[in-house]
Amino acid sequence: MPERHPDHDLIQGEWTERSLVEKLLEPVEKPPPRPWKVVAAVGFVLTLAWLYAIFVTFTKGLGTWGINQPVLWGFDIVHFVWWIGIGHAGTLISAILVLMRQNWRDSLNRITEAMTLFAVLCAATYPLIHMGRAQHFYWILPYPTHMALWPQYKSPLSWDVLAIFTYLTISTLFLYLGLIPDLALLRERSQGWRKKLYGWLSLGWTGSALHWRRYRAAYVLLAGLATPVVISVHSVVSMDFAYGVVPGWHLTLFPPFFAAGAIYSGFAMALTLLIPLRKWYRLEGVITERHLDWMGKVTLASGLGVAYTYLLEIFIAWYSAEPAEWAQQLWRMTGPYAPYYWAMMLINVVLLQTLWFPRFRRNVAWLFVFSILANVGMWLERFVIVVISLSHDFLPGNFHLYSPTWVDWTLFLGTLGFFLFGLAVLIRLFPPSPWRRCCTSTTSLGSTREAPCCTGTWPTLTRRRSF
Amino acid sequence: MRRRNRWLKTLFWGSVLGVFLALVLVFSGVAVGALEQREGRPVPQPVPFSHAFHAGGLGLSCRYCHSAVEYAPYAGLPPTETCMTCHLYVKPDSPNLALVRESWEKGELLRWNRVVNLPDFVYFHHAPHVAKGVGCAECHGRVDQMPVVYQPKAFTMKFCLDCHRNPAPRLRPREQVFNMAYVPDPELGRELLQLYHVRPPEELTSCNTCHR
Amino acid sequence: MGWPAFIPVTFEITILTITVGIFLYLLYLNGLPLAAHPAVLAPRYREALVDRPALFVYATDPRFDPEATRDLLRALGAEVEEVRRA
Ligand code: HEC
Ligand code: HEC
Ligand code: HEC
Ligand code: HEC
Ligand code: HEC
Repeated sequence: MPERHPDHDLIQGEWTERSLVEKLLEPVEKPPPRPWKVVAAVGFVLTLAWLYAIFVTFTKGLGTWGINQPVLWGFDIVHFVWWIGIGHAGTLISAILVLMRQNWRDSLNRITEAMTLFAVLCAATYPLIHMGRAQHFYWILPYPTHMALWPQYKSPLSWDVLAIFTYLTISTLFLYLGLIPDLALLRERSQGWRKKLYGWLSLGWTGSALHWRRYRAAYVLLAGLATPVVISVHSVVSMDFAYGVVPGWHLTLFPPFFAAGAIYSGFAMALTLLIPLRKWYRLEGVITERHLDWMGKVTLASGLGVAYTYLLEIFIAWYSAEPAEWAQQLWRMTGPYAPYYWAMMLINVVLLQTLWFPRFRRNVAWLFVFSILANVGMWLERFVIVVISLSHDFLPGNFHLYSPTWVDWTLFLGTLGFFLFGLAVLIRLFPPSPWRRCCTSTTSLGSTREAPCCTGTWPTLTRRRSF
Repeated sequence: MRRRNRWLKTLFWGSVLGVFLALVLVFSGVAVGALEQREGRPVPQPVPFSHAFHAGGLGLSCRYCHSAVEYAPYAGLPPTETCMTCHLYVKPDSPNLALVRESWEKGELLRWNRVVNLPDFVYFHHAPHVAKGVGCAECHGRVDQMPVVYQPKAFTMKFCLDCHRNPAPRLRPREQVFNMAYVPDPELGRELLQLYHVRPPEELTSCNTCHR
Repeated sequence: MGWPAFIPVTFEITILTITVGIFLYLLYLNGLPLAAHPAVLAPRYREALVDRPALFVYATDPRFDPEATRDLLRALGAEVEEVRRA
């Protein structure tokens, strides 16, 4: 008699270990549903457009962008920060929630980690092409060169490079480490090129209990290491601004503000992806409404951090008695960009409050709408910080508005497309939710929850050597 | 099965080691300049003019032909007239000098091929180097021994900065600037640094010294 | 006094090397990567991967005795199969 799934308290419906595996491997093993094809196709077309825009940028130069003097950072940096922020939810779910023993993460971590990977990739392209001569990007690395030059390590811009590189590596490793057992199972279940692919990628994972034990230890260690990185990455990104004397940037509050904003936007994007996904693939039993409710709570908590900073920013601008700061604040609230500012306030401060109420939080439709709004809100926030601040610095003679060109827009839509396309391909190749659940999270930390995979009854290979 | 496993492990750990070694290679600095294409290649010239013979053998001073070197940014190349001061009389019929004579008769300049050429974003000036006792050989090598001029060390930014950071050991008395065989003496160099009022490294290495 | 500026980079590089190190060390400890393993050839190995307990006893052990092992396992109520290296 098959037993109930050990995670039955976190998922919905009558599942056994085996029936859940069948369910979770469906997206990979069965032909994709129609929405998948639409998303993949749209994503693919936009990716091509993106490549074209990058080509134009390379061949004709940055003059094709809308950036000007003094708005030297335009859409590119807006989107860089936006994407990096979105990436944060994945690592948060995979790392911090592991340490906090939040077992519900098991249903979500795969898809959010994939989201992180592509979001960081999208983000990283922006500074790269903004360099103008992207073929020389490696000059920013501190290695001995024929120029006898070292990057300026007092500048957060050069910290950023390493922070993001580290972040990208860790998120990729995390995603991959989590995938290995899935890949081994898929290897045994598939034929043809898929078997080859999974065979190579699974690295010969056998599922031995001894291996699992070390695997779990490594997983928790990685989680512990990834946690400070998540926090540090967006803090460093915020210092790109906070180190500058531009009114509206020069604020010591920026690092926590950006970290909160990152988690907020990341959870919003995760909700935007998960809600349709669970519907299309009928994963409501695994990604339950309770999961969405929990995510709504995290969104609320981090969103409140953001809202708090918005209000404090106004106060500080006034309290600092610095005319340029106060002028910047008024420019945001009453200048030509005022609609952007107020739309941001409306979403991130006012509408956010709906999440206090379970009635809203458990309403999947509202959660979906709000998650999209929050993405827009965070986009507006980055626009406010980057563009509006720059357009109004110290010298009135220098003030200048910013208007993006078609290249800017194509680059943005293109990264969106690449993001969707990449996720679509990933879901087609790798299960969107790990089937071996309990093993990666808390049990290894000594939780009392019983689960077969964690008590060592899995294929036991007694000795390591000789094969 | 064992063979395949051994093969795979060798491949995997081998590439991990390879990546590690590549990192050591790049970050230790031993490979700096390994890809430099510009060094040591003699540049073919239309006339088989030999510095080894004219500057080394005949002992002509560089200034005889590169007359602007003490005053101007550019050392300049000699006009045909300079050659003809001698070659009207020396080897007047040599086929090797046919192009020189043709240029002389038609009044057209000889077209030499460049050996050294800094990118346009670098500013260079010969005069301060000559005035502060930097010998031609420090940068151009033993031209007096080159039948065909080549650049012994590429003018990378590192090349310039290595001296600008610490010029003392490479300075020589002004009168020795054109002496190709002179070997600088670090002790004397330090005195010359004072004597010639060579500016401090902070100034010489600030970016706008060379990138203006 | 510029040293505080180097903290973030030092931190990131430390984490980066440790993470990659942990990952590689995990593979090393587990004797991975493998191109093939005889356990995979066991019938119903796929189930063993998912929710079935399974025990593999290596014949490379110098004190390995096929008969005694089989009897012991049978006595404990297990199905015993022999897996040969292909
Ligand atoms: C007799 C005249 C003459 C004398 C003396 C002479 N040069 Fe030249 N030099 C030339 C001519 C002509 C060229 C161009 C042809 C060539 O590159 O070989 C030239 C080229 C050069 C070049 C290469 C410039 C380039 O970028 O193309 C260098 C460097 C140079 N000379 C250095 C020296 C030095 C140092 C001395 C003194 C030791 C010296 N020359 C003496 C005539 C002379
Ligand atoms: C500090 C290094 C340095 C020293 C010392 C130096 N040169 Fe140069 N020389 C250069 C560089 C760099 C160029 C190329 C300039 C360019 O391309 O703009 C050059 C170019 C030349 C040329 C080619 C023509 C020109 O002016 O571009 C000649 C000839 C020449 N040098 C001769 C001399 C002679 C003769 C001396 C000794 C008095 C001398 N150089 C000392 C660095 C040096
Ligand atoms: C100081 C006098 C003098 C000057 C100035 C001079 N040369 Fe010469 N050159 C000589 C002498 C002497 C010879 C060697 C003749 C011999 O080998 O018998 C010679 C040989 C040559 C040769 C070899 C001829 C052959 O038949 O092998 C060439 C080519 C040449 N010079 C080119 C030049 C050029 C070009 C210039 C101008 C940049 C120049 N020379 C300036 C004195 C001079
Ligand atoms: C062997 C030593 C040495 C090398 C090599 C050298 N320099 Fe210099 N450079 C000096 C010295 C000494 C001075 C004079 C400093 C002073 O004026 O006090 C100087 C001065 C200069 C100046 C003048 C600065 C001014 O404000 O007028 C420039 C420009 C310059 N160097 C460029 C270069 C470039 C470009 C290179 C490489 C191609 C180079 N140097 C290689 C020693 C060197
Ligand atoms: C002593 C002269 C000198 C000084 C001072 C100097 N440079 Fe340079 N720089 C050069 C030379 C010469 C090159 C050309 C190297 C080559 O052609 O390989 C160069 C090339 C470069 C390049 C490569 C450009 C390209 O597209 O290839 C960069 C970037 C650069 N310098 C930055 C700087 C910065 C930043 C500083 C100040 C910290 C600086 N340089 C100070 C001489 C100098």
